[in-house]
Amino acid sequence: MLFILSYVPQVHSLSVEKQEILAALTLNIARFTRWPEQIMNSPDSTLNLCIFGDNIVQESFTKINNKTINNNVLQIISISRLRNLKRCQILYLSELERNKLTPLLEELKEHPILTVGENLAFIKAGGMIGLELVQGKIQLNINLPIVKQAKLTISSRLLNLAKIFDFTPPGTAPQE
Amino acid sequence: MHYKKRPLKHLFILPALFAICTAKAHSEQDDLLNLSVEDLLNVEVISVAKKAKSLNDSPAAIYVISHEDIKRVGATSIPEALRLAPGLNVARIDSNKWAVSARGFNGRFANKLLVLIDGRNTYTRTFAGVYWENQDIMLEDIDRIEVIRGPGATLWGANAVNGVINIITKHSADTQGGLLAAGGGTEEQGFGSFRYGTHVNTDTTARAYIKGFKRDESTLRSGGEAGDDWDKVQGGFRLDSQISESDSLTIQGDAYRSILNQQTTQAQLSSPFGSIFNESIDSFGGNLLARQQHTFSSTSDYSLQVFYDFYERDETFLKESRQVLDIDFQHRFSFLDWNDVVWGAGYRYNHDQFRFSETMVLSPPSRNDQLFSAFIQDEITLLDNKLWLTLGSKVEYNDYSGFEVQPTARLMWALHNKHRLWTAVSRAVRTPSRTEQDMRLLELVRPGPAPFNYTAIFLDDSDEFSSEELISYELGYRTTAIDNVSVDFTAFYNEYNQLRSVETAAPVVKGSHLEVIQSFANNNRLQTYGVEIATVWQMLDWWRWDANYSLLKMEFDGQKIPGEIGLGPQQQVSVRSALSLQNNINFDVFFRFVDRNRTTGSLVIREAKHYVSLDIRLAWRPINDIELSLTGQNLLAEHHMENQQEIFIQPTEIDRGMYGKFVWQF
Repeated sequence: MLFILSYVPQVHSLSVEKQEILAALTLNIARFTRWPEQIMNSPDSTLNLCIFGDNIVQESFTKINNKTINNNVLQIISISRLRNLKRCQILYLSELERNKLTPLLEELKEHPILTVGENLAFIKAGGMIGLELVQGKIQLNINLPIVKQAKLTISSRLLNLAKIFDFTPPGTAPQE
Repeated sequence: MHYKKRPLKHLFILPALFAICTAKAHSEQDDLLNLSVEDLLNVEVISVAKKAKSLNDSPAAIYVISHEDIKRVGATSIPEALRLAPGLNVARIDSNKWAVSARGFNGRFANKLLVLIDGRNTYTRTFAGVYWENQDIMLEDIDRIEVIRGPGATLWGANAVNGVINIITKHSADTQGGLLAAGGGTEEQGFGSFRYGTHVNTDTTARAYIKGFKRDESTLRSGGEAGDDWDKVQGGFRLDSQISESDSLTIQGDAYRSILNQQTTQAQLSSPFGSIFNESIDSFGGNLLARQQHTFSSTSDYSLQVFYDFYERDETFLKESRQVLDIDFQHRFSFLDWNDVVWGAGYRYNHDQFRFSETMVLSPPSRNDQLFSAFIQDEITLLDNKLWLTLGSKVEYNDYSGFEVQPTARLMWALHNKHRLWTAVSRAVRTPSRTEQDMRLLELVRPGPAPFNYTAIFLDDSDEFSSEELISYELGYRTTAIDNVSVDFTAFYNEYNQLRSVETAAPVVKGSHLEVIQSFANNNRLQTYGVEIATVWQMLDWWRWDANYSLLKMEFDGQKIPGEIGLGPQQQVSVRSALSLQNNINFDVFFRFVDRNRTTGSLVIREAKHYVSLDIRLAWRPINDIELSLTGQNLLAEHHMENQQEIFIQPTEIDRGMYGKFVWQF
């Protein structure tokens, strides 16, 4: 009996499952982002967060539904097809093959949609924010030119915590 | 430390741990949302295994065998890896032959399963099935195996009647560096493989491998060695290149040479009318495949694939060589906001050459045949993110049975985040094989009856033998409603028409002997129904259980099932316990029960009794790049039978075995 108990993983509040962290981080990133005036002050005052991913990803975001972000309410929309994306203010893309990701992000640039993905390759494909697992912790990667192109602004408090990239795909390697 | 506490005490702990684990999870999530960004970026992240939580969105009975599962269970061949899927009957006939099928009709020459390796069809027109001893790849390079039970004819074509097996290898970018594996044991006498992957330039990666093994002979049911030992050498490569922003190219190929030994029984027209002899079969082959993928936009892309495959084998009763050239095109696109369409066209060219013997004659001895096919499938979104209807059909024209149409209708309902319900109706067709239409086989010769010297029974070719047809109704339900448990349930009802039957004519006097001519016809009809259940329980972070169950019932219009239809195992159960201790020790136990079965397509009843089997693997990773493992297979009996071949091979039993393995990655 002691043998089994000694293997029960210690529960301390600083060790959490990856998908839960990514959802909580996305909520916080949204809090530090400003969209163009007409979106932030729109009559229905909702910010749509579209989630593209399997049922595990979609479920991890249900907990942040209806949370307030400044003057708006976060509305989670689970999508299983990459259509009708202009209604999203934030687009979370989990596990999309590179050959589909690059043309999609190309089509979305200059639209005021904050794109969030789960690794560094997401940045290289044209994404704005890549959340990557590095040595047991999530690292925040932000590609500023793409953010600016979409007329979005991210607060400096968040930028100071992130690894900033400065390039415009395709082709050229990222420079820090 | 008290390691040797009675196992019963552990059983009481399990439900308690179950409750504790689920309760912990809920409070953690609420705390998280109150943390600041700075704190969130400092949290220690753990990646929990997903299998007990993920729900597949496919309206089909699909089960995915992962790379990790294959390694953990100590599988040394593709059929052994397939044992992990529910609803598949994987039976080892002897050391170098396998019988694999889904939902019944199993035998070495099973003809209702389609098997693809990276998009290359491994089907041989000779008997409408797969020579499993020819299909091998470096198992360490497998990304996953998708096992789909039920008709996949619309997307994959004829002969995907009872199932499709899709073996997918890793992209060469994911197999960089070197991997050396070697080992040996009692049945797996010796094996080694080496693979090296590298960046060719910034956009291109590649890998090359070489492997070889020697396997021991098994045991005859009547006692004594079965003379079925064999060895094989195989090499291959894969190259992947992103040739432009919107184009990717993959080129891959393999070549193998194998010496297969077997003890063959053959009928002959002179006394003593049968002979048993040992023979050594030289078998070799290779393939080359190229695939281009072009992306127009995020909602439209196409793939164009060409492959060439050849093999040759030299057995006493048959020498055959076959070449296949296949061209396949597929285009996916979105249409009007609520349609996702896939359509495609394909062409296949087959050339074969047979040298015949007294026992087996093929006329014509050489045949070129063509296959033209086209398909279209539309996934219609009826309710956004909730309900999808898939309609499709494949149309093909082949040189054996002419036009074939194989439509399907499937409905997928995501009624809740943790539940999926799907249903399907499909028609699938199994087209005739070369041997059914063109072969004359001397099956058996018996002395007498007086005044005749002997009676010779022949199986004659039947040009009129046409396609078998299946109408299949399926229903499936998946859920992850219970924490850390996933359940996948499928029920099916199959109606087979024009099923292969054997018609026996009255004996004909031919001078001093009698001749009985049997021939194939399409006069059988059969109904089968059953269920397949796959469950995964992530009991603890480091202890996972997988349990599969399948039931298969066969009905022949209320009468006794004719011998040539065979009998699939009515029930199959498998349970696997996977322990991952201390991050570098893996301990897996894999238990199976398989009901008795009778080989399909056999002219006499060939039955294998029910059996249980146990495989155990212990692996240790002393440093990060090296793994040592010890695997015991078929441990419960010194030898046991799983399936008897239709003809030519005596009943053979599979031996208990053990092997050690060393893997070094650098």
